[in-house]
Amino acid sequence: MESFINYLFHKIGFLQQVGYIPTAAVLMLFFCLLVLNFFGLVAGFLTFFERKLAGWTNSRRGPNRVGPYGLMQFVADGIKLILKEDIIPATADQIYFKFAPYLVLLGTALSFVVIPFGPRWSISDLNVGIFYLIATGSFTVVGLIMAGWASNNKWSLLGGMRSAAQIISYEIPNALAILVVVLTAGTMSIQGIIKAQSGGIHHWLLFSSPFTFLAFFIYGISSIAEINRIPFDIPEAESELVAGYNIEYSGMRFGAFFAAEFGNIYVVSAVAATCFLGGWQIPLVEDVALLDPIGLAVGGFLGRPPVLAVLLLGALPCMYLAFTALRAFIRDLRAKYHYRGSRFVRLNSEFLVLGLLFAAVALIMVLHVPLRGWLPEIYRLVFQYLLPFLSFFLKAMLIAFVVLWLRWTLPRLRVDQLMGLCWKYLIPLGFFCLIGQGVWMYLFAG
Amino acid sequence: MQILDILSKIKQRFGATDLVWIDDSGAEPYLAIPRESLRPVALFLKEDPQLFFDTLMSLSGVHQIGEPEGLEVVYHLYSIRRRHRFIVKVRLERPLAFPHFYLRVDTVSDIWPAAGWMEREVYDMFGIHFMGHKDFRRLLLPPDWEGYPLLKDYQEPATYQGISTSREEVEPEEQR
Amino acid sequence: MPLTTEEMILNMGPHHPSTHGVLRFILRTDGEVIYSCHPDVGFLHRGLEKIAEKVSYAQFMPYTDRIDYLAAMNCNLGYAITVERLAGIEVPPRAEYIRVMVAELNRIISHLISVGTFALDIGAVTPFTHALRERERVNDLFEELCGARLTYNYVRFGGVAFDLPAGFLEAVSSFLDYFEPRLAQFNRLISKNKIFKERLWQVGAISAEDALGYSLAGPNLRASGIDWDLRRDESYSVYADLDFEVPVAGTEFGQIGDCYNRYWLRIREMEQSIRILRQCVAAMPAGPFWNRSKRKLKPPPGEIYVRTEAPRGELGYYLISRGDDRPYRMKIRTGSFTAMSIVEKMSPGLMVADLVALIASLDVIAPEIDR
Repeated sequence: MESFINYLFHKIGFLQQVGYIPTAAVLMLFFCLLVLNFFGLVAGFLTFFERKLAGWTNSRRGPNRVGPYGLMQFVADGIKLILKEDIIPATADQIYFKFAPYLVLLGTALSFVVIPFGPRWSISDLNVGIFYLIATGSFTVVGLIMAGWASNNKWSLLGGMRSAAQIISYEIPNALAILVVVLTAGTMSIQGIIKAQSGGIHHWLLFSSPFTFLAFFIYGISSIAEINRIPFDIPEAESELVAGYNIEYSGMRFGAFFAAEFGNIYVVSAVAATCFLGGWQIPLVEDVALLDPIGLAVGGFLGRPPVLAVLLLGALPCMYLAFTALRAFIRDLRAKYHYRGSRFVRLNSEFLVLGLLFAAVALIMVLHVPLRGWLPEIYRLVFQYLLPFLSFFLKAMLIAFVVLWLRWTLPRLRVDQLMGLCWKYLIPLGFFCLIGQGVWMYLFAG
Repeated sequence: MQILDILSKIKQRFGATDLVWIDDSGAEPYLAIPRESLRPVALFLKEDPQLFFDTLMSLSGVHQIGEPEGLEVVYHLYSIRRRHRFIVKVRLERPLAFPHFYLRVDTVSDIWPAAGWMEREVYDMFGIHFMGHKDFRRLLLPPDWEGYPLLKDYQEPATYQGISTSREEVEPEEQR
Repeated sequence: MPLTTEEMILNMGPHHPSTHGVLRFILRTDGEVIYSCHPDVGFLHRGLEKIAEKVSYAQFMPYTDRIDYLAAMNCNLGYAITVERLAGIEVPPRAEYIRVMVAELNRIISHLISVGTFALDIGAVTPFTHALRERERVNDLFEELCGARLTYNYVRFGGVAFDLPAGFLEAVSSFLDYFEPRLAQFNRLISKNKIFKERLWQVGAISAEDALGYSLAGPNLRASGIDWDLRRDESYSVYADLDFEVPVAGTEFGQIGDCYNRYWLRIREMEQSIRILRQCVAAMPAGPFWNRSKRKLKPPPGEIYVRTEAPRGELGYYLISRGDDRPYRMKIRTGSFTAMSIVEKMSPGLMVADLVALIASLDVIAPEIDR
């Protein structure tokens, strides 16, 4: 972000009159607000997506009333939570009760400082980025214990205690897996770790060595435990404790816990994507950070004849699919307006969307050839900014999908089994990975 | 084993004096015993290797009105190992005064643990006390309920904890 | 010096998503391990036994639905058999087969809810919705048959209320063809899941002596290793002519008498019910379906105790008649009542999560306990 601020500072003369520090402060604040908004949107989208996924696994549709395909559901939920009555038990500890959700939100929001959105885009690329992430993950514990205690309710106290024990225990295998990554990458900064995975998909830490492969799963399991999701859902075990530490919370205070949980899902998925799946690297495209998009477009990778052939040939099935989908949609449209019982004909708007999508992809694939010489700026925007962001976001969403999927498939572990898993299996395995990776690097990476 | 063989075994063991064998038509035959001999008979039924009544199917109370007026506690026993069943009844006179003193039966909950809750239910519904029961209190009704509902002359209380139980007073002005 | 922790008295209160119906447990625990657990029942006491003394025999039939609303056909059947034996009413063979068919269908859906809510209590949400999805098919069948989805009031003294509609047997067969692979899919989803097994393996093991002493019945008794099934051993209706196995606990499903065994027993019972149903559909005789008497039913004076195998255990009706048109005393003995009484004995030493698993595995339902 700093380089971007410098770039803007030098480009716009007015800012130079104001001075560097005020512009930097205001711009930084603006970007922080943007990222906070992103946090809110992503948390909201993940709640919607979880409900959709829940519907699909339970052989029903998820929310599909509010907005197209139900996408506005999380907005409706947010408005509902804000409008709800704020009930605070009279015997609860007022100050701590009100303060606890903010702590939990703080823990999640602080993690968004180092989450990257692209090659040079993150609020701050700390040189101890990963370490900072592990540290902010511990804020949640304080908030949860505070919530459990302040509610003046034995059940939420139980939930708070259990969650504290769980999160603190699982931070160790978490850190061990991250240590493996740091060992391999040689740096703790997030962008550094991503750059260390450049050079092709076999450099991604997931595939580069069996020990990092194992470390991925250790990280996955322990981070699901860190964010209190099923199968490690004991603190908020619904059928036993009726939502554990957030029993007494209502309205937006509960919404804060909820948003923090889903924001944490994104953070954890983003970190997994960063450390193990190459971050914003795009497979088959080498070293996007130092990319020369124009050279790439004209004479580089995309200009090579085999690639060109693949693209042009690939455009054909895309056009066919687009054609079929649009034809189906038009047929439905005609049925709706000509058929006697037309109000029972449902317009399958999926066909329209899919049709337009495939048409766009086909168009790009075909027109890329004549356009490549003309609009280098578009290429720069796409390859340096949009595609890396999409790649990162899709990888994070893929892991988030798995996390959400696990919630609806697996049952819950009991507390002592949970603790046993951490201390008796994951921690020794984590140490084994660490030492093994060291040996591997000594032998193979030189 | 046939029922009459079981009966003869019991009579052999305990003497035939106060054990009354009732075999009316239309009903399953049962053995009526006085309440003092309930525990020895029950122990014998459970532990004798030929009888081996290991399951208490049902323990119920009955309030008989008419000529044999009184309360009865009915024990339906079954033996899974030997595949025979037996019915034992204990008849209690319903006294006019001091009901708690006369409506007493020894507990069998240490012989058949299932009787634990069944006896609590009989107490709840009929007011029969079971002596020696470890956890003796009402089961289904609230602990401050007055009266024993399944008695034939039970009057429903007019109020419970200050709330009236009849409909007219509860919803006086509501439109129906 | 040993660490002392304070003892909490917790109330797993009547409002609780885990308990099966309105039940309350007073726990003394130190946070995780339970020292003692006192069930407090009676929230659903409706005085059915007192009502039975006031209404006539036929009028009491809908009340028997509400004893165990998930297995209403079996409750109806038990009551009908009791009164028929006392009054000496004959039942035509078609009615017997129809009764067995609906009783077994009801057993399947009752066990579906049981295993579904069991998985839900352990934390897996999806199996519950899948179980309910299969249950919907049977609910549709029952709606076609008698008009109701939950409380059927279908069995009558001397037969059943309505004849099978046209195409019903084919519908049942197609349901069975649909259901068998779904049951296998259900097993793949949750029954063989490692986490599920870990939660239930060797948890809450009830020994055979305890099971007999506490008069457990049905799947609970068979899971403790005792091979006893009323359909086979004290056969009623036409079960003697049908060929089925009675699943008993096995050590491959954990310790004898533990929660995993009880869970698997219900799954295997569902498979056996499918078998019985196929035989019923194939052997359904033609003929009258209700041996209806024109006069009001007045059984001769006497008493009788009849028990049948309901999905939750043994359902016993102790009926005393004095010759008039309403029962003199009706005592209903249910399987959940005795199952609940054993919770207090089994609970010391369990963790709270295990207590939830134990209650779910015993398949208690509050209206049966409280009547």
